[in-house]
Amino acid sequence: MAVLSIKFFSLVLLSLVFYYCGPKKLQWAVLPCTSLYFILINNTWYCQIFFFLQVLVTHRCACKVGLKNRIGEASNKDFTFGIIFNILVLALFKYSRFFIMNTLMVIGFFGVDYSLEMSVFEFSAPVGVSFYTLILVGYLCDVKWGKTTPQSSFIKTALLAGNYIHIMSGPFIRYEQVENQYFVAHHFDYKEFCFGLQRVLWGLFKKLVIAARLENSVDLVFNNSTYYNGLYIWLAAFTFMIQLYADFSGLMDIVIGIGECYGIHLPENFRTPFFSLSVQEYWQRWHISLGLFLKDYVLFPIQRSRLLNYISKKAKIAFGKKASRKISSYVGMLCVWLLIGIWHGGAWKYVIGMGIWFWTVIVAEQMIQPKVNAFLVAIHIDPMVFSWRLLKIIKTFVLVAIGNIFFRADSFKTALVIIKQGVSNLNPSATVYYWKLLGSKGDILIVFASCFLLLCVSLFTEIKGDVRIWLSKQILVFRWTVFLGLVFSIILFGVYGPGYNASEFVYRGF
Amino acid sequence: MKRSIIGNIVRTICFIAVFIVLFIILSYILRQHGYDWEHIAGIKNEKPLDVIYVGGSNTFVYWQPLKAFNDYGITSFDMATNSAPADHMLYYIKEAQKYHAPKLVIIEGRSLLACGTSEGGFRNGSDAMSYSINRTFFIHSYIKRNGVEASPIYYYLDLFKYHTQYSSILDRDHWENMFNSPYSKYKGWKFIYSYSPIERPELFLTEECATLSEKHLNCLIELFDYCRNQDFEVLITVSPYAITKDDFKILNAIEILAGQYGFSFLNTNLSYDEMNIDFSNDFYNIGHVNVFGAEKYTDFLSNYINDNYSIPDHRDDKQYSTWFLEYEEFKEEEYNVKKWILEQKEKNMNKEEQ
Repeated sequence: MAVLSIKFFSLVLLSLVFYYCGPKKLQWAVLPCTSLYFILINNTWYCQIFFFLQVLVTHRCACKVGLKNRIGEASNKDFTFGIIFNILVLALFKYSRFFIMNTLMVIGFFGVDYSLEMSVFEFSAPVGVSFYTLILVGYLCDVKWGKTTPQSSFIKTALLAGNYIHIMSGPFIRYEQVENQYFVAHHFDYKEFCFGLQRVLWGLFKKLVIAARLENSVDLVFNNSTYYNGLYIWLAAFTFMIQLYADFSGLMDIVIGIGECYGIHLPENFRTPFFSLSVQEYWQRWHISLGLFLKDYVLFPIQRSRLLNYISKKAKIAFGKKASRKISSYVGMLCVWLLIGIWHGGAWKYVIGMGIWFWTVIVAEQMIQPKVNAFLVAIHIDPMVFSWRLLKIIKTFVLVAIGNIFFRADSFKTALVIIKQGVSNLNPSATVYYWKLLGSKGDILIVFASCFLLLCVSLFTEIKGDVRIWLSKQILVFRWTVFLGLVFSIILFGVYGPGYNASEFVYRGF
Repeated sequence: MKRSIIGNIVRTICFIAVFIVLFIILSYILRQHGYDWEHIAGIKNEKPLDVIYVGGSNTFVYWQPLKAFNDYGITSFDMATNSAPADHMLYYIKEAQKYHAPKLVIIEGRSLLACGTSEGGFRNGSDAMSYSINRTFFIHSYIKRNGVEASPIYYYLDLFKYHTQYSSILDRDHWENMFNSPYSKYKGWKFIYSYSPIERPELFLTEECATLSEKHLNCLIELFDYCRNQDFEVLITVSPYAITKDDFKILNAIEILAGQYGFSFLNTNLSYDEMNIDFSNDFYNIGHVNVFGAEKYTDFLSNYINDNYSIPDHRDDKQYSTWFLEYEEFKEEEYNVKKWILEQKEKNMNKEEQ
């Protein structure tokens, strides 16, 4: 069931009707029932089994860990079993093909002949396995570390992982963020409900009007990379940045908006990332919940690990205190970035493009930044002036766009070919002709107008906060004009319907 | 507290109402505004009509309502769209009844030869109708009978289908259609600038009856059941064309069924000589007459209606005074088409001689 389908929105509507019109005592059961239905119709039988098995194992392990923590017994065995089981299931569905292919390649390198039908490893994964597995792992860690008490109800643990609102695409939630929201009665709040709908609309606008319209030109260039070169490549890479942002943040707006309709506030996943001054800041504003998850559940434990302490001690002796701190920090970050790369998918393009590339850039930025600051002071430039900040924003945008070329390309090799094509020739005519790939004059106008609107809203959000709050204070005629304008912009200018390939959200695939 | 709840409900209802109105207006603006649309939506702007002629292209290039009015005072309308099959007829009749109380409904027998059509053929009718319960049932019946690949919402709410035509919003002509209320100057008739001689059909006569498929039969029964319970008389006619023996067999079966319901059945393919139809002059393809043929067919059928039905003569009725002016315009264009056809004919003859 695609998010952009009548069926999905009908399910949401029906669920909301039961949620608010049904007996308050049973309100909490509406979300589990809707989610159960959603999981059953979207998964094959074995995916359903694996989902419930993961939840069951996590639930049992969390209960045991919680009990043992309380009575002061060691709970490492249950904890480790729960973590390994979840990671193994994730690896089975998402990375088995990747690992086997690479193992066979290594074997082949040593002259051993092999033949294996790779289609054996092409099977459908449970919907949202990358998202809910990490949520379950995080929950288990929280119980182990005493941050939260284990949930005694299996259904409630299942809802934490399998809530249909966020199972497909996040955001990553933690038990403590939702325990007081999922399992308490919610009274219908007109304002909150309207805010939720407005957010859903804005998400639909971003996806259907901006992302879907930009997709065409990006696909044309990336799928014919030997034909296009120079600025065509870079314009397509920059366009892809906007497309991906509109697509993913649009999806998040829909998810968070639906959550608000239920009276549930899910964590934000984006904070105007294109205004970032550095790549590190970009990743603090992009897919926030993933970054925070990995920081809390991977980076910090790694930094506290014996191995890293050992490396730190050795580095301290060899390079001094300051350098040793940096080295241990960079090693920890490398682990996190490798995980980010692998999380995006079992392919080298993700490991290198989304992992190693961003780690390298962030480390380089951290190393260079003090020298740049000293240089600016020397030549009497205030690093806070707009023009310098703008330059940094552009630099960040370009560096992230290079990483995203790997994300968008079919493979690591193709990404290298695309980058090579990009630097092989300047091709300045692309600045004029690239836009024609977007479609007719009307289409180009719509794209630019909607991107301008996106920029305005982003600027407003960055400076003044939530646009909806500002809108709610305006007079009725103005408000309605804006809302109706938005609705009809989606209906008229959106890319959907018969004859169109109703492409899914990019991040739904994870 | 209560006041704020009521306020919220009222606001929500008003917002939804404004949305619906704008949605409907935009739907009508973005629709295809061809002659098919005029033939369906145009009926609502007519003065009371006594005769409704439903069918496909076999109707709107055959029956000339303005000529029938000029000759006998019959007020009629061609409620017909391209490729309209039997299952459209019921809903066309119901649509006409929303605005008129016809005394006679003529159903084109050739449209009854099949049940079901392509999406394009269906949309000629459905996307011309204003949003209504009749339209909803029409679409529902089409989807049920034929099954559709795309989501049904693209049929029910056609703005979702035509939203790609958004540039039409800037076209002033499209805004004139924002109420889906065109005026059909020639009462559903369509002039076609085309001519082609065809062979006179022979050996199509047979007493055999085809076995109609269950779907086809159900379609006809549904239509006839409805018509039987209405206050109008029903005449099923079959306009002249290059009829085949297979078609004739199906028409025989339809005639028998129509007879069971007490409906008149007139196959004009049995009266070529009486109509003075000339196959070398009166057609533009094997399925359609040109203006020469249409004139003869209208003469024949209006005379038949005048002889067999008591349809009032409205020529002295002041509310139809504009019909005479429209008839003059009709005659003028008819003259041009006839002239064009004769020129084509002459050109063809010269070519043959060369």
